[in-house]
Amino acid sequence: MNNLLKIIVSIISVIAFLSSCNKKDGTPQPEIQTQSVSLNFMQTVGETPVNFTDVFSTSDGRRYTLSMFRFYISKIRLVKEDNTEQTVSGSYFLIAPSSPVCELGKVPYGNYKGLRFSVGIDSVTNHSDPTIYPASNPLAIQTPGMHWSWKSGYIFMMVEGSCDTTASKNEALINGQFNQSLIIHIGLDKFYRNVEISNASISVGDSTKSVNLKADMNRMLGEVDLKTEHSTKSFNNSSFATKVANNIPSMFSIMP
Amino acid sequence: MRYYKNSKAQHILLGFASHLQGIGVVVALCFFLLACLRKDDVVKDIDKLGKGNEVIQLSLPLGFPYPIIPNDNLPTQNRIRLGRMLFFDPILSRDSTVSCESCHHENNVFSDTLRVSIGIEGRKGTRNTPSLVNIAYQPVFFWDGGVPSLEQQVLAPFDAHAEFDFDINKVALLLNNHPAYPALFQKAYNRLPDVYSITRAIACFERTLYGGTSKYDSYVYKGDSSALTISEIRGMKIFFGENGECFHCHQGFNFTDYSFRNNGLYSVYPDSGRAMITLSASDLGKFKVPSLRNIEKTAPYMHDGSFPTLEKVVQHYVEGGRRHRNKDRLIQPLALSKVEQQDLINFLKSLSDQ
Repeated sequence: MNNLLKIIVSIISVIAFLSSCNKKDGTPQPEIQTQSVSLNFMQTVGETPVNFTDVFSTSDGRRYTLSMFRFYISKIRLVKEDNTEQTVSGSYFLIAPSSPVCELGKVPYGNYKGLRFSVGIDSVTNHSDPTIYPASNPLAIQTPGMHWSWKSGYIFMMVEGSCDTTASKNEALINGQFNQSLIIHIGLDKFYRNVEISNASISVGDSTKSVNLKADMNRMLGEVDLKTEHSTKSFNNSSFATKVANNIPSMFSIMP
Repeated sequence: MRYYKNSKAQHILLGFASHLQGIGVVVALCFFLLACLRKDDVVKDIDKLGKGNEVIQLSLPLGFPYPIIPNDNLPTQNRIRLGRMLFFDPILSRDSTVSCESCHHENNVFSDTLRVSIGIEGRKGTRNTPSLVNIAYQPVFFWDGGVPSLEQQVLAPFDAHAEFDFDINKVALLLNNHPAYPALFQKAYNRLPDVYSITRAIACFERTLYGGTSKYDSYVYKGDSSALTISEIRGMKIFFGENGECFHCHQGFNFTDYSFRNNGLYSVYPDSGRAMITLSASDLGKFKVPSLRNIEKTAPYMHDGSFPTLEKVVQHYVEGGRRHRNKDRLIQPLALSKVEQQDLINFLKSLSDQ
């Protein structure tokens, strides 16, 4: 009985101790006002929104169609007026026409002059086990796949479709497809790219903020001749892959 | 079970409370709270999962070290049974015609005898199927070492065009709608079929495959000096000696150092091997050194199955291979007579499990 009493006294004292730990200290903190911010990626070819039925043309007039346009966005940061970075919540986003939005969570009020993010997955996460994520996580095994299971790494940028590689450039579509399939799978640590948008001028204030960003396919295909360059899985045709990867930072721009 | 756990927790608390004062009581209470939490979890789990979830000790051949096993996939009877069932089930392939076992035959040391593997619709792969016996010891997977764990390796056949050519998410859907699988997954992994549990189950089964019952094992590990013939013993001396130099790469109980080497098979490699993973020119034509256990049963040989017999393999090493700038410096012409070559082959055949 004596022991039981000790237990009861102990429990009460510990609960009192623990609950006192939970109390915040008395010093007043300045209230930081925050607002929800999201990025909305508009996938385009020039000014035209991407769809999977139209025929598009590169700047040199080579026609193509698209059946897939997806990429990973990560490490999103806003740049303050004093050049310091404001990190935001959320880490990896898989952008596609059906999922164009990155919810950045609550961001402190203020004017942000720049926006930084990466296209791809950092090298540590890129080679870690993709089977551990719940299906809702962008890093989980996707359908269709965004992961190379034979070499354990993510595909950062996946574009598929078809292109007209004929000399006349007047090839007729057959079942909505041109004569040559277009396959661009950019992965590998060396093709991880940082994007910097310096003239963003994002003002976060009273109402929720949605920042519209353009991701222009034709800018990504800049300097690419689809007649000869239409298929790469990064480890093959690496000069084509390098060209595309190097175009990635300039394919994004802020929309008014 | 519930009562026993409860009284045990109380006993621990009584023991602590009667001896400790002040801050010590806090520690005691933390123990008490932890004990309560754990008790509830354990009871709930055992009620749900039933029998067959005790972690078992794998039975290994004499002289083999215990393999490293990921903590989240320790072997239990339920996991192994489930993995085995999946391993044999063609539901894994797009047209439900091909299973893991289609290439990794149970009756042939979990390998086949084809030059390269064959997947759905008779599609030919580009590489020779390795045996899965003693697979638990491999530090990385595939001939080029592109995958770092057995669990992740399981993903690859689903994606490969010349294997299952399917989608593991779709397989998970099929398994969830299957009359038997959902309950088996719940029992084994306490979750429904998904990418995580499918890959774990198959890997768990594969980690139960061992072979160490060869004549060589009897000779070395059991000390049975009559287990090998005189020719096999001569071959063993060539293998482990300066005449053959085989042991530099094919070393240890599993007859491999798991390194990647260019053995001079070609001057120009159609398959760039390890360089596909590292993208480094110095890795062109390098492939993982295979285990030689059960080598007699896993013809044809090399990463592409280009040598039909052990005679051709030995002949290749006697000639010293072709010129390649990445060719391993150990690959040099060997001065072995026809009899010595036959002795070496006889020794290699003594590595077959009985």
